[in-house]
Amino acid sequence: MGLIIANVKKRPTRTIVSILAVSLGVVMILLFVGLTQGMLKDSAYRTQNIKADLLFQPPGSSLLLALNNATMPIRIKDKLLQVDGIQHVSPMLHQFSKQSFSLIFGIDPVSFNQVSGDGIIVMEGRIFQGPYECIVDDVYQQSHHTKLGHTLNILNHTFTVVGIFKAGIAARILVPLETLQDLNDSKDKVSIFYIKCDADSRIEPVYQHLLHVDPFKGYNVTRASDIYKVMASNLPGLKEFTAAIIVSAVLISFLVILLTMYTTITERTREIGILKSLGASKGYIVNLILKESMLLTVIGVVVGLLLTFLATRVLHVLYPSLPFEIRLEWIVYVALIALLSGILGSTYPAYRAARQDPVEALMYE
Amino acid sequence: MQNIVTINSLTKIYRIGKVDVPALRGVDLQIKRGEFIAIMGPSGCGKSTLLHIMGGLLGPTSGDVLIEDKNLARCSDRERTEIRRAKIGFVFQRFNLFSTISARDNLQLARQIRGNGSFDTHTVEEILGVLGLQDKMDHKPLELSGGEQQRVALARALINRPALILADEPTGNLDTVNSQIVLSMLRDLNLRFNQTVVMITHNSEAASYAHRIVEMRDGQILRQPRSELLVEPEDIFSH
Repeated sequence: MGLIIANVKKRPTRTIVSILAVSLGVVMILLFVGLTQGMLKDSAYRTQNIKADLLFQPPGSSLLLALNNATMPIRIKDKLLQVDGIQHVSPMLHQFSKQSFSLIFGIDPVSFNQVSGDGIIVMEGRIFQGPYECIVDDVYQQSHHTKLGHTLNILNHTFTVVGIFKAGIAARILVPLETLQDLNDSKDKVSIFYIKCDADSRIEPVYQHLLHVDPFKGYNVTRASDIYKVMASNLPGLKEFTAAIIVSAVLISFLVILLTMYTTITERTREIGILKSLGASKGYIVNLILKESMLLTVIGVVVGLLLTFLATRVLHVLYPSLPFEIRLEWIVYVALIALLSGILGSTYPAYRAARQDPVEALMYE
Repeated sequence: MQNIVTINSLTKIYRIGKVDVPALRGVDLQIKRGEFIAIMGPSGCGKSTLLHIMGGLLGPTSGDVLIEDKNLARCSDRERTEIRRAKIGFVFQRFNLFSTISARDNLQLARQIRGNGSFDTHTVEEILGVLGLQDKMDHKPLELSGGEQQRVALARALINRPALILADEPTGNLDTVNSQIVLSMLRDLNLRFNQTVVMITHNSEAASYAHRIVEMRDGQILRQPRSELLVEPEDIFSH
């Protein structure tokens, strides 16, 4: 181990570059996965907190509401209320605001509170009572330093903030349903119905009814308990993009470790000759090179985790509403990926070192 | 007395491009246990090739090289490595110590490669005492003089108690005073520990420390006088 540590310390710049390359891969993967998982979980959490039992959406729509432009007539609400087992239905219209880079829900407060039970907990001010009034949650308030009476530009119209509600439900900005329909040129249209059944035992029969019985057949129906799973599977290209990020990170680590260990063994040709003269086997030399690359990789992983932690703290200060979800399983996964790339990157140099002719190696200048 | 090295009809031909270049042309040599021999000859006469083959770093083209009862010429690369690890210690002209680690770690590395868990610390201390290295063990090689570095290299070669020490111009990089110190130590180790030593040298004064001088020219042994080793020295390792 003494020789390995001494070798790593001998070329500090190269060591630092290798460690940073590995840590960059760790940061890339963890930040991307942490952000996507965090956003998904946050979105699912806020949707589940509405406490509806079922979500009813137009055919072909996505649970990722920001990606959803599909609408359906509000009169479907009356048909839904006729289904045996459905107690309350609350319509909503979703709109993604590019100006505030956030999702805006147009809601009907009365039916929303019927579905939700506790409803919206207003911490300051009041719920909107007229058009072009809005309420924001306390996370939005803190991150945007918003106060009652401030105005927000939503869809090129000015809204007055009349209330601050407790975060963790629906969206960060809520506006009257009719106002959003007008602005969206979708009068009497909604994006989703949140459905409350009259008992837990009625959820499954209602779910099956909506899936298979006309006129609801063909619409998207989701159980509240399935929201996270469906959201994760519905996000277009998430798996592919995650795989691309992982492959990129692995490639960066692999290539840098390969280059580092290749130059290392070239530089240490004579030392490999000495080891062979001492009776070191090929396995011993391979092991030595692999251990050295493992040391670089492990330090890279630790530095990467620290940098990720630092980056999430900085991002949290800059964008308090940005949710991160970095789970232990992903940290373990990323560490294994980094170690694998370290092993792969050092395999060829190790093999090359082990095969060196001892006499030629001893004569190497 | 038992031969530790027996070389019969040894040849080595290097192929350089399409040309065969013979380095050894039928060498016969016997070295007894506890003997200190010097191999002399001009550059390119095959001394180093002979030493490398004896040490298992190089395979011969034909002939036999027996280290005790193991014939290196019939061994695989893996077996040669095992024999080298177990029976042979090298000392080089350029010391060949690892410059990034201390003298102690250089010795420790040799022990680790040997995989010798149970180690006779008394013998190690005695070797370090003979070589005068007790207070130098925590220094890195570049903090030591050339003579001290060569003594560390000597200690490293001895630390695993090899049957055979192969020294390739061990005084080639040393001044006269340090050369004499190192050669005296080699002779002292040979006498006290019954350590067999084969030394390549250009220097006839260095060669005079040996029991026997073998002269080589053009890949052959010219002269091989009878060994002066008449009495088998005490084997301190057997205690």
